[in-house]
Amino acid sequence: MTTNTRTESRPLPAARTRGAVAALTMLPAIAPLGLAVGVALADMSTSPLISWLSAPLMVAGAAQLVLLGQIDSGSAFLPAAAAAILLNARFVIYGAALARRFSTSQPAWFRAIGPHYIVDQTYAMSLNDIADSDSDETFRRYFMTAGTLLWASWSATVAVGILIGPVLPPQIPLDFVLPASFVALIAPTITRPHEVVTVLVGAVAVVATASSSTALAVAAVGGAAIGAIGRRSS
Amino acid sequence: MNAAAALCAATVGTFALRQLSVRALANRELPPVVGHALRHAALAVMAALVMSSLPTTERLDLPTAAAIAGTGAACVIARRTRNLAAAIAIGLVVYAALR
Repeated sequence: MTTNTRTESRPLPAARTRGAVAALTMLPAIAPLGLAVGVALADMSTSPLISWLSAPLMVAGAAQLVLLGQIDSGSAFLPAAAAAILLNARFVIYGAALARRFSTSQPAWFRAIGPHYIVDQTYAMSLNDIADSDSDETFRRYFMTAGTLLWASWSATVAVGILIGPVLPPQIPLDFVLPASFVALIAPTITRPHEVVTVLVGAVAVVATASSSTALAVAAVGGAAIGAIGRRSS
Repeated sequence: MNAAAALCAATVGTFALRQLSVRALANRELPPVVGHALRHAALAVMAALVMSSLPTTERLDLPTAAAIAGTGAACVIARRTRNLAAAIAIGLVVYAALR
């Protein structure tokens, strides 16, 4: 589950602090992204309350935009929801990679609520911050602290975006916030040649396929194949 | 009404997706090769998300030069400093200057 090589489990009280620090470090990426999504949602015909509720309920910026964008353009609710759910299929992959940490040794409340916090950012943070040797309790404290802070930040910044969207000057390049945030998130984790190839496969999948949902599926399969081959040959 | 129904359906569907693999695999030790494959699948998906969200040219539907330059700048700063805020800020500045 992690690329970390530390061997000793860290003390429990530090887990919450580490989670909070990790979430605060992520804030500069979350805040502009939430703001950009909020501004885009403010531009749509759906009620501001429904637009904002998509943030705490879905916690998935791209899917929120797809869902309400489809509704805005006159789509029926089922196709719109299906497109958003398809875009979120990557959470199955993140969940599978983190599944060991949600075993039945964890309290039921954590196994019910914790997965709601599985997003691109918490997945990447767990990969960087949690070692195999860290206990399940350490993971739970870390993940709940970081996840709750990110969830609250996301909900708050989307609300601000919806409120101030109509008065923001058009010079601010909000359309570039999402790619810049993701690049900043994944670039430091790429250290090996086959990881570079994996990134290229993901990028090519988008150019070679017609829809973003298909691209994500092709990228997932291609990335998994490279990962499996890389593991066998190393 | 349509928006509220769509939001409910998407919320339930997304919650189910997040629970699906966690519940199914929670008490199973995955072989190392599968764990490795999953990590790479996630990385490729994130790369695809970046690519699909880049501003594109109208004619060829490929990323604009400004978007490529901004992405490159954010990448370099992120790798050198591991500072998310700086990487995003530099990427945005480069993109805004060239678009």
